Amino acid sequence: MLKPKGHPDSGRPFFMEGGEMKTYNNTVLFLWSIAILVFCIMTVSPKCASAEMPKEIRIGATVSMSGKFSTEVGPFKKLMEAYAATINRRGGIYLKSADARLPVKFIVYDDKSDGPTARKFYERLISVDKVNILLGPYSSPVTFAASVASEENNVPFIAICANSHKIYNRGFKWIVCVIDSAPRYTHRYWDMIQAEEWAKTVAFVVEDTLHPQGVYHGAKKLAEDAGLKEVSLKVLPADTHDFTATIVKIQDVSPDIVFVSANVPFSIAFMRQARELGLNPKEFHVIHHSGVFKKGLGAGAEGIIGQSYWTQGMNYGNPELFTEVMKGSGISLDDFPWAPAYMMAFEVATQAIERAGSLEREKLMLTLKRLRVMTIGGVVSFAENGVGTINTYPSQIIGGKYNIVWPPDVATARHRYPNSGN
Amino acid sequence: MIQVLISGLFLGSVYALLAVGLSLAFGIMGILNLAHGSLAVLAAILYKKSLVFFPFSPWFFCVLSMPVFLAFGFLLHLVIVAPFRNLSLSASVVASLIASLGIALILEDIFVWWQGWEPISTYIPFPTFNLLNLKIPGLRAVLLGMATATIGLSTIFLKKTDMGRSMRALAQDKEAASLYGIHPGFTSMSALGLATILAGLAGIFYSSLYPLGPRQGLDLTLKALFIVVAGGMGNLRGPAVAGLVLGFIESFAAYLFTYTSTDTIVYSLLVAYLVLKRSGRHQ
Repeated sequence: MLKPKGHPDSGRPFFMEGGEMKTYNNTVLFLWSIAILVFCIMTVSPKCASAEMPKEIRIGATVSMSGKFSTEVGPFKKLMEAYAATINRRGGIYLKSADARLPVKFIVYDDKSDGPTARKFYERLISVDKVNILLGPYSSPVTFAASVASEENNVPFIAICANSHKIYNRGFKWIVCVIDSAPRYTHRYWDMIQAEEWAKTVAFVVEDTLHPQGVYHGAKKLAEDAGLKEVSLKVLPADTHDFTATIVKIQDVSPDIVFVSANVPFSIAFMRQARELGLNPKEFHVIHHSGVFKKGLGAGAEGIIGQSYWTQGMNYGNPELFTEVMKGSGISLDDFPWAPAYMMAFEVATQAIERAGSLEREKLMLTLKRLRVMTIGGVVSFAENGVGTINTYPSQIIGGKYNIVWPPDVATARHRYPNSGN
Repeated sequence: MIQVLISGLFLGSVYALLAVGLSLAFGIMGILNLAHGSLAVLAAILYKKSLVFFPFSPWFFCVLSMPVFLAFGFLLHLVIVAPFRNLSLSASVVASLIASLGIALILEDIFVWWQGWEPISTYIPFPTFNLLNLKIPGLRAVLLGMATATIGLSTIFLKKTDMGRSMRALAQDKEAASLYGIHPGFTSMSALGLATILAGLAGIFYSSLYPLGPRQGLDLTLKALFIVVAGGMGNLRGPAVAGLVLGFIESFAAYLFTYTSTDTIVYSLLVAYLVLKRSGRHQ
């Protein structure tokens, strides 16, 4: 048996006790060791490398399939799956590091419209499902909570419908958002009002939650810049059920525009009572006037103006792909008007992966930050804090259909004003 | 200001209807049914679901749903009253209270699972009338009339029919009523059936006017309890008046102060009222 010199059994002093340092004197054994090492390098390492080669691109997300936001994005898992199916039919996403087109797989959980639940699932997506990139949940409060998981674990996170500035003012490095910040959400509407010079006064009704508050603060400034005077402001809790007092006070000041910055259930309840009590401004603006809103109000929705990311007839990017994905998902754009924003996030993720040529997180994030890509909603790029460039267009319900009314080069119909629908 | 008053009247009528049912159950059986508001939410959900098949008007659905809610009342009786009838009065009250709370919580979970978190709204478009320069929403006016008629008919039922008289006799003295041939089990079951019908109608009216959350049942029960306490337990007129007063207070508090202050104002007034009423009795 081979014993190094200095071993107690060898009868020689230990190395640390100042004896001579001798290791092995069998050169044959030494050569064998080298040979085994070379063999390992030549045989095992390539196998390891091939084991790390991705077989698919894994995109993680949560969707509010239940809870209060399910009315806005409930079936969007189908949208993600339809996008993956469409891309995979075309061969997948090209990844330079693998020199191959890889299929896309979405891993999606139900966040129940709840921030802590979403965060828990994003942690699972990172640690258990080993996703390459994350898409954000719906809404600012849920994204605010969920994005902490990506920041802590250094995974690229593409936020979608979450534009409260509070999310992006935290100095997070691993988040970008497709859409512009909440205060600029309605800037095209106010551009139109300023250009048309018809309205002089505005009354605001604001739901006391993160996104509507953010939109209101921006709209207030934009309205002032457009030369309008704020004649009333009512900030109400999300569960307000009787708006009579608010409506009566607004009637007293007779504003030209009543601007409702709220989520859909609140907006429906307010508008129903406004119609019932004969509140009759020259224009109602409701920031979220989705198909659920339109159905909830029936004929009362006619003439109401709101914001849309996309309507039929807009020709940026690849609208045919979007149409194919929507068809595959079975989702109606009227019922779920945030689908285009999700589509833009898919396009951003796809482009970022292709341009990075790798699923390495740092490289992917760096590519995302520098990305400038044409999507169905226009060009997306990101500011230093991650905020994107996509913004909504003012759209009016005319003849039961949504029509973009500004700017003129994108408009699909003329703005009808005054048009309260009463 | 008058518009706010009218709105308070409409809101108050729905509250009154809800509270009358709770008061009826308490007055006749001595039980506090904490599932009362959840039954109202159940009615709203059933109405909403039925609209998918046929566009029922609220009043038509009210008539259709009465036997269903009578049956729900009977079932509820088997769970929250019948098992405890041999206990002492105080023990049976506590047992019924806990059982009904359990039912309320179970129902709320079922509602969320069944129809999601979105608020239940069964609004139907209805013309608004102009009366002396005031806007009178037609739907609210009709529902106000229906709520008033329901409370009136309930009162007549209790005073003029044999079953009503049996219920009142049971409320006064259970043993004496039994000696006169009144079946306590069936009578109290009928009383809970009637109370459940009233809860159901209140739920249908409420969801026709305002969005109703699937977990709002206990809130409604609390509000009904407030009205019953303020109006006097065990009679119908007091809760009906107190319900209207609550509607007025809520509407005026939202108009004069802020919407968020309404609960603070309402419950402060309740505490003040109870303290004054109690000290008045002592004097």
